[in-house]
Amino acid sequence: MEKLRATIKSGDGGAVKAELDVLSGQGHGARELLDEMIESLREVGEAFSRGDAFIPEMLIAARAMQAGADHLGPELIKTSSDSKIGKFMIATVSGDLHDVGKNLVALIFKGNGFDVVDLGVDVSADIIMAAYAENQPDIVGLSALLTTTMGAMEEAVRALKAKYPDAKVMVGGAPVTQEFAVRIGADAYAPDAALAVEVARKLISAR
Amino acid sequence: MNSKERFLAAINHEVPDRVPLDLGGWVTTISSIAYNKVLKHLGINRECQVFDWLRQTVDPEEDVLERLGVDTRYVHIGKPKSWKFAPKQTERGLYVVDEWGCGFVKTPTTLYYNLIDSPLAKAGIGDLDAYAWPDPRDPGYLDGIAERAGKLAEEGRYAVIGDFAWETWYERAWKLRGMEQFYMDMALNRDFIHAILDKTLELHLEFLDHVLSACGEYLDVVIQGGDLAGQKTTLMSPADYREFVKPRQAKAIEFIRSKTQAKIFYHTCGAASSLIPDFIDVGIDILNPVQVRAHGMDAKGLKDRFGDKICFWGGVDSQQVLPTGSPADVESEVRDLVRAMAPGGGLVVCPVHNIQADVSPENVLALYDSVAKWGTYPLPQDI
Repeated sequence: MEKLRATIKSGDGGAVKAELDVLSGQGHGARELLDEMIESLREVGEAFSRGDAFIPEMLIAARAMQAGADHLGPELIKTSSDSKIGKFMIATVSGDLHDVGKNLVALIFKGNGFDVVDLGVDVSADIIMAAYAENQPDIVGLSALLTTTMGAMEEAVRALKAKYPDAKVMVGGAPVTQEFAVRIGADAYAPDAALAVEVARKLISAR
Repeated sequence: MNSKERFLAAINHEVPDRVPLDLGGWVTTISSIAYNKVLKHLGINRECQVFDWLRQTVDPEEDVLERLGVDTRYVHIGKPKSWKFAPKQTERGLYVVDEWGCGFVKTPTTLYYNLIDSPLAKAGIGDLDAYAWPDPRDPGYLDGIAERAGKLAEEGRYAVIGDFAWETWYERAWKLRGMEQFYMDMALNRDFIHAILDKTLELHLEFLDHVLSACGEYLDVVIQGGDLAGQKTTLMSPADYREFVKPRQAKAIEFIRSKTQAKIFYHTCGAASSLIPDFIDVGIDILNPVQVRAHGMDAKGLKDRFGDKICFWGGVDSQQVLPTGSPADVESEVRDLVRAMAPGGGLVVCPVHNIQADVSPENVLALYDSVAKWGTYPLPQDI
């Protein structure tokens, strides 16, 4: 499994798939392989949170994970091992077109076994509400990079909570802080994509 | 001391009469929305037009600069002859392609233009030479700069700042490539990153030669930059910075020094403290914007560690205090900054990055007036 983990960290999607084929051929099940890859991605995530890995390392590992998960997809579904931890719906709030951070979060959540609905950027509170009704996510994630769009984040959180009191909302982005998250009524805050997954897992298991 | 004398003392690590103030540069100016509120607040019956289309900021006017006590005056490049700002209304909003071929949109909900199309997203190294690069020696860039810089230098009242980042060779590269693709290339396609940065740097040096030949002798500062950090840490590893960015910073600085005696100002947002020793090593004189709320960027720590070797320009928090604090909070923030960074000179104050649309005119005035109040040397005992 060392080699599989290394291919995730190397970001080489082709190598990931090749190694998965080798290991499947040796009799390892899809679920086991997926879990190994998730663990590898988690290691990169921890390094990222610690400050030992940076955007390039995190991005390529998440992408390689995606390639690996897609490759295993048919087998996971066939063997009913395609269980998802939960459904995560993410958006960059109204007025904000920044998406690199949001995309990384979406990718890491997918890589970690979440079903991810990505609403994109510049998403109004109305659309978030409608999408919540349609998708029934376990957790909503909102991202803002601009200080000037934090008001839109507050508006979206309050609107969601007013209509769906059981909705779980987590927030993030450069100007966002734990204190701000608490003030606007969000359930959680995470300072980076890797920690966001851990926060989300806790929110789900606490239900 | 006049403004120029005050400014020069500060950036030479000497003690001026008071801490110098800045407003009006590429990333040290003010949103048109916030500026027009300042005009109204000051009882000035005027509306100022947008100067920088990308950021929707203004070139502040002389009476406002004087009221705020700003010690710097800017030399901006002229408009290029080969390209015109011509946004088109599309279903997404106002869409414009810049001189480099990148597409930007301003939607009804956004305050400024945002990158959405990167023309070199799928390019190979072999495609770079054939790309339609802009002309770094466009004659339009020189419009008025020799006259403006010469006049400012001759009058000797204000510090003369050459606003010559030209959106920076580093940022041009990732905007052309797309930010995600660029950072993945940094891991998986390193040759491409070298190739595209070589190209953008080459054009940047041509541009610098073009503008500095016209006015380099008159300048006190040359503006340069390129964002290398986010809220928590650098965007790339220090090793990648040293491979891809540092040698090119060195090359640009060496070139600038061959054309002017001006100090080198480098802008990087975010938690860049791990790179400051390298910045000092490569010859950067001034660090901007000193994003104090980013990790590891507290003012006192930076001054203690690096204050004798690099100057700090910026420092008033724009992520929380300016948009959501009261004028008293702004004054308190300024006091903290001055207390931490003003001793011994080496500090120029302005907000961290451009003043945004939601900052009140009261807070803008509180910022500049508080520096005048607390930043006079010798610094107050009770600061």
